[in-house]
Amino acid sequence: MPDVAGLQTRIEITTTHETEDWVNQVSWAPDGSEVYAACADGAVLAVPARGDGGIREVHRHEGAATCLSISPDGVIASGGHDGTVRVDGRTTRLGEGDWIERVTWRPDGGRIAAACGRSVYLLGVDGTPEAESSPLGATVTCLAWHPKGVNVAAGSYGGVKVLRGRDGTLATELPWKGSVLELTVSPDGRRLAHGNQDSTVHFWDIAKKRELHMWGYETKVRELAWRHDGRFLATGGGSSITIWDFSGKGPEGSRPLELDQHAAPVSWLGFRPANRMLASVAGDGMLVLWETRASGPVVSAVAFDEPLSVASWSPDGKRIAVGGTGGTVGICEVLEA
Amino acid sequence: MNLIKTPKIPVTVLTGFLGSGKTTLLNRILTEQHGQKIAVIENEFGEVGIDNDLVIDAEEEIFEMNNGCICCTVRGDLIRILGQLMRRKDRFDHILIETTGLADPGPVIQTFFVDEEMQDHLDLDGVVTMVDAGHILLHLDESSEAQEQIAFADVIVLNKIDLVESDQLDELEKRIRRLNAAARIHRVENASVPVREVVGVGGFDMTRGLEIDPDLLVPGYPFEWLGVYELEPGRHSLVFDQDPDPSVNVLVLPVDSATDEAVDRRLREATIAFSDRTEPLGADDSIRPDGGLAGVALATGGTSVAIDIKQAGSYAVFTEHGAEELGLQLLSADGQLVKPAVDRQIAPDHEHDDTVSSVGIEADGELDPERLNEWLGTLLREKGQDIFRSKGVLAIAGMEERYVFQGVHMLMDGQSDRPWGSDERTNRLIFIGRNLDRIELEGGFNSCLT
Repeated sequence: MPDVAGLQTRIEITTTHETEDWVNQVSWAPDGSEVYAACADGAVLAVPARGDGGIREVHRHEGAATCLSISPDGVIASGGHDGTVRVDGRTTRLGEGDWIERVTWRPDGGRIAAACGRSVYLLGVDGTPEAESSPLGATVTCLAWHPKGVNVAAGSYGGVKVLRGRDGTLATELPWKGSVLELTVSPDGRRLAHGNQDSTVHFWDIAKKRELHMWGYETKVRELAWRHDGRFLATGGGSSITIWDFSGKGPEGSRPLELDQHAAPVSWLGFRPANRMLASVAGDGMLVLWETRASGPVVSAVAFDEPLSVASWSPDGKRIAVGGTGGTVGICEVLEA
Repeated sequence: MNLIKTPKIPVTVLTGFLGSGKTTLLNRILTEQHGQKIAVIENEFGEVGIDNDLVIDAEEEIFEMNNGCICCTVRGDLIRILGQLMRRKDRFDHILIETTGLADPGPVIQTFFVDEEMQDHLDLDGVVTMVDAGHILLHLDESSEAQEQIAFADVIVLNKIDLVESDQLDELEKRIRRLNAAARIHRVENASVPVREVVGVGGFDMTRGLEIDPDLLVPGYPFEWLGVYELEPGRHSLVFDQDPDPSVNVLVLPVDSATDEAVDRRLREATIAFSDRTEPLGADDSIRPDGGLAGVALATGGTSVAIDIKQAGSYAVFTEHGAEELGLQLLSADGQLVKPAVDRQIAPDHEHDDTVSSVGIEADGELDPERLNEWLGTLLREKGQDIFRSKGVLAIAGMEERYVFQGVHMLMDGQSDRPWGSDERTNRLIFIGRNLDRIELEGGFNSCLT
């Protein structure tokens, strides 16, 4: 059992729903009323966040639904193995044989970036393609908008290309010899971190092109999350969570905080909105809430009946939705002390 | 949480040149395995159609990986695609990866060794190489890809045998055997190999026995000649009239009697001694008849070195080159020519044109774990680029179970297997690769024996 220290904030499972297949992504409606799930059988589902209402199918991809993004207005965009992006019922085919690896709304909801094959596409709010990048060196595996929405960063084997969100042209290149699996831009837009196939994490100061390489992870790294103030970056890549501190001189030469509780590799990490708590889910079926301090870090934990593949904080930071490899979608509530 | 382990999905890699009959075989597998869900990942576009619901066209993406001191290449497209396929609940019973004739099978196989997620969910079942009996000789002579595809195989399907005379076929099979002594070879027409022989073969299942063509277990020796002499006490001399090399390694060992049987019992010891460091022989030194390896510098116009014999008996002399090539003679203390009672020329290691070959080693006895680790580790690190595959079933000193290992280039995976029980503890291993030096490999292996 986790060493829960005294009376304090805890998590409880409020509802669970069963879907048909492995949950690839979950995301909240802006008003917190529903959770959307992209599943490996192709379904994009709306799950009620409260009460006993049934699951509603939003739309369905042929092959798996790989990714999902919700605009500030609540418009659902999804992508799948069928090479299509679905936006609010409209279908846009981008790839012939290529899968959609990622879709992501610009933070203001004015545009969608989608990764398909070696290219990044920029779509209008109704899904109409408006611009396309030059092909990258290899399949684009991850995308992240700059918080202000000016640029979008795309990762692939060979590093990261920062593209102009306007027309997809190249703004900055961050070359790195290796296979990039996930990337994230810091809340102030100055830093970028990417997790890699070779069990490492790489940091960039985008403007200065200064870089820092961190190795020693147990597995490939696809789990990255910044705290809202950009001071900490939590990274997965195995069953322990490593947290790097970017204050002062930054993480170079510093000792990261390590959180050990999971019995299987972590599959998702996320800091609580506007808060210092961190949530993580893992292949051991556990959702753990952490205080990011060295002493007594576990705040609370709950167990599910199947390995968890993904999770997401509600916009108000009071609930967490989790998705499992067997199709479970769970809604958990954070109860304050 | 109920940790129900979902069974791993077996994966077969099907390789071979264009026109070798890959697609015919693929379609036969799909037809005969009906009722099974099979996903096909192919890199070859626009060839004959494949009748299957799930065919994924993947563009080959070769990624270089740097994990500490180990460098290798993997297939990024396969990591991405397989990572998604294994998530589907309507799980596939089998995944077939078809690679082009020009693709290097190495990165495909290494992909399964370096990605932990794939190791958890998928089982590499085997590499099946289709060979067009009518054209393969040409390919073997002209391209390293053809040699590599054969070298990596667990199963080789020798197809279109109706187009080739049977004696040619025997010759071809022999040549393939030399490239890969561990693969199973099937001779067929029209790709009609039974499906069970290509799917579910367990080529990467370490717990299955290792089958090596016995012809390839004939040891190679690091010496080309041996002679056994009856010698009286006194200072004898070895005279070399020729100097084919600047120096020659010589070993003298006492043997029980001047017979073939007696010297045969010392062959292993002599082989091990030849892997030792050579002691250069100075002008005033003499060769000690106790098994130290002496490096004799050969001067133009002839060289003579002394052997001091303290006790009368039979002594075997082993030389790196043939006695004739060296113009070797042994003279007694009073200068009389001594004729060897046993005079044996050792055939040099089999030579052929292909740079790819197999070296099989079979030896009784037990291995010292530390020395084995050191030897295998160094070997794979330094020669890993040239060693395509390695497999072994080993008897480690102090370990009740068999130790089994599998390697692809520099990557290696080892584990303990079932106990030896009453079976005789013995070691079998095989290396398949380019420019393999049998003598060096055997010497290295022998130095690990306790």
